Amino acid sequence: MNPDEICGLRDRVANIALIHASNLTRRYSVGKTVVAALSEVELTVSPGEFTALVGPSGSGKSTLLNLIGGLDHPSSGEIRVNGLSLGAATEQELVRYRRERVGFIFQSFNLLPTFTALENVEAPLMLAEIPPRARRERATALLESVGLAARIPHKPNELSGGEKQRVAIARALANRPLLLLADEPTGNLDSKTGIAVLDLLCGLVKAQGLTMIMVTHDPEVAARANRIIHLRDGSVRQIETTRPAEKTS
Amino acid sequence: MTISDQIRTAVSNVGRRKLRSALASLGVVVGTLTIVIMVSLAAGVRQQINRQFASIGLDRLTVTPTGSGRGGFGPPRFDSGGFDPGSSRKKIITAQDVARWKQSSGVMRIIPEVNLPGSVGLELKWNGTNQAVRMSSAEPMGGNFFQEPPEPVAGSLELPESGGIILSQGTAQAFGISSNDFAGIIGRSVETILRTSRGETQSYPLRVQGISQERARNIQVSIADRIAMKNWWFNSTNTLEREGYDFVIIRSTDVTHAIALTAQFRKEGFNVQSLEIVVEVANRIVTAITVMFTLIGSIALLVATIGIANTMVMAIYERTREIGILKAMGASRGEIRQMFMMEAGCIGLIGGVIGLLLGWLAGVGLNQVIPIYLRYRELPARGDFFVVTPWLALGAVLFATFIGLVAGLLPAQRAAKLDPLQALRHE
Repeated sequence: MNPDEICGLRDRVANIALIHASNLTRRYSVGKTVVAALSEVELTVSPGEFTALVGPSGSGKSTLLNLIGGLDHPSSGEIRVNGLSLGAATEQELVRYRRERVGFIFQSFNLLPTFTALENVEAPLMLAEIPPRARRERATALLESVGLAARIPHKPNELSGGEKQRVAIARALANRPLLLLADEPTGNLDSKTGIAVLDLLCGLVKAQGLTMIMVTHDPEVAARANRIIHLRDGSVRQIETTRPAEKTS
Repeated sequence: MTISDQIRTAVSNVGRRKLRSALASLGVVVGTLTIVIMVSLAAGVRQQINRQFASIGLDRLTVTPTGSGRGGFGPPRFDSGGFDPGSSRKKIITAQDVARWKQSSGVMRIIPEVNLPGSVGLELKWNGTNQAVRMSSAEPMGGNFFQEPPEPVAGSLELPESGGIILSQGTAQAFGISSNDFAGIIGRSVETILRTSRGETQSYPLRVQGISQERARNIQVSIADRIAMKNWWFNSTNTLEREGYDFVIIRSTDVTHAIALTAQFRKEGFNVQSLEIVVEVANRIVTAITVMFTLIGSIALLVATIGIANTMVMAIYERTREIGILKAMGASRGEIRQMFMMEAGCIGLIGGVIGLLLGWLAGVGLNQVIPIYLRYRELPARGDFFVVTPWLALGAVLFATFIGLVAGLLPAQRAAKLDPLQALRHE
């Protein structure tokens, strides 16, 4: 294969891929020393794929997730999601990207404490300037779909961990994103609740044909993914294809 | 994020820390209170001054023709030396001018005057006896700005257009009429006789309208008769058309209008005498005091910004994580900044409204108390001392809100610039 053909192939892959990262590097300065949280990562994620990121602490899982979510900027290399180069994007483009394309689910739920469950789900819709009535309807439907119809007027401190994470899932789905980014979504839940939340999340993702990238420590959680990407010291060590995307359960 | 959503969010965020928001807005309350009390006091004092000036005659002005050679304070005097037939007048006051001025806004009363030459021999005939008298101005106040308007001893001191005469007390007594009989001569006819040095005479029967307090032997005669007398004296039929009125006394509805009218008549090319300078100086002093008081209140408000800014810095520190969440959900820097600016503005607005209400209540209360005290001290005063105009109310609240916004500017800017990742990690 000559270099032109390789380039052509790469472009084709980049075009059909939802996420394409090449040479992706993120360095942090800690005092005078520079630490590479992520170095020269190559990654391609197809639409509708469920990818698990695993690895020990400090391996760069969260850094990669934050780069894909547009919350962090690459030090070098490129990351392109849905045609938008996140490293080169303007602040305005990143705001729109986070608002319209991405849904975040965090380990610590990160609900707005003074908002009710309904208002938390409405918040992204409010940022998108959806009229109050329409967003109320959408938020209510989403909370019903995560089984929280009865908890709609409750504030986060009146909800259990599992319930909080369900609200967070509903919120992440509110603006109909292409991409769900979950950072250890079951990390703060007991195993039984964790499994229930995971079942719900995977069901919704499959039903809506969403692409999901999940950071996890738990091999059982990772086992549900189409692919498992093992990270260590900021580099991809192994990519494990567990099952084809079509058969996600 | 739409404006209405931002306002709603800001209000609910302010409401969730009631005590802290209240303490932060306390400075604004004090500042606004100071401004409202001070400025409403200044407005009230201005009204008091204008009212006092109006009562001493500052609402009056005297218009004279240009080039008449008469100046100074007050209207020209009837007996001011040799008579100038008016040939040198550049701009005369015509009957049309007077008719037009009558329609001007702020003109309450207009009295055109015609003088008789000082050399006219004037006699009054009553019950067969003749007494020499002098003609005084038809305006009862005689042009003295500071004199209280004379009270009639009998009848009225208002003259009709023609055929009327007012006698002074001195004139009536010269005919041997005692003060008990004054009322009896009202409505009776007397003859006013003009006599030239060659002995020619002309008689005018006039009806007595009233008797004034004046001790001198004076009479006042209706304007139409004075014009007729002047025509006879100069053996002419059109002295008014040629020379116009000698002066016109105008009483305006208030001092402000007096100043405006003075300017208007000057522009038309007439001489105007009024006490506008006094009013202007007084108004300037009140304005200076108002500005000073407002500055004091403004300093209080500026100090209040420190309190609001501190509250906002605290709020942003506490809510760093929330800011991170909002940013992850796609809130822009501008939206975060506006959110906190709105909160700060909201604190300012609340403080402003409370300050305005307290200031207004204080003014209303003092308006009740001060007249009682003044009456006790036997000082004359009417009306309110504290006047909260709609402009003051609006201005105070807007300024307080503005102060809040200014206080929120830097903290909000800090919040907007927060790195979303660091904010999310914040505990």
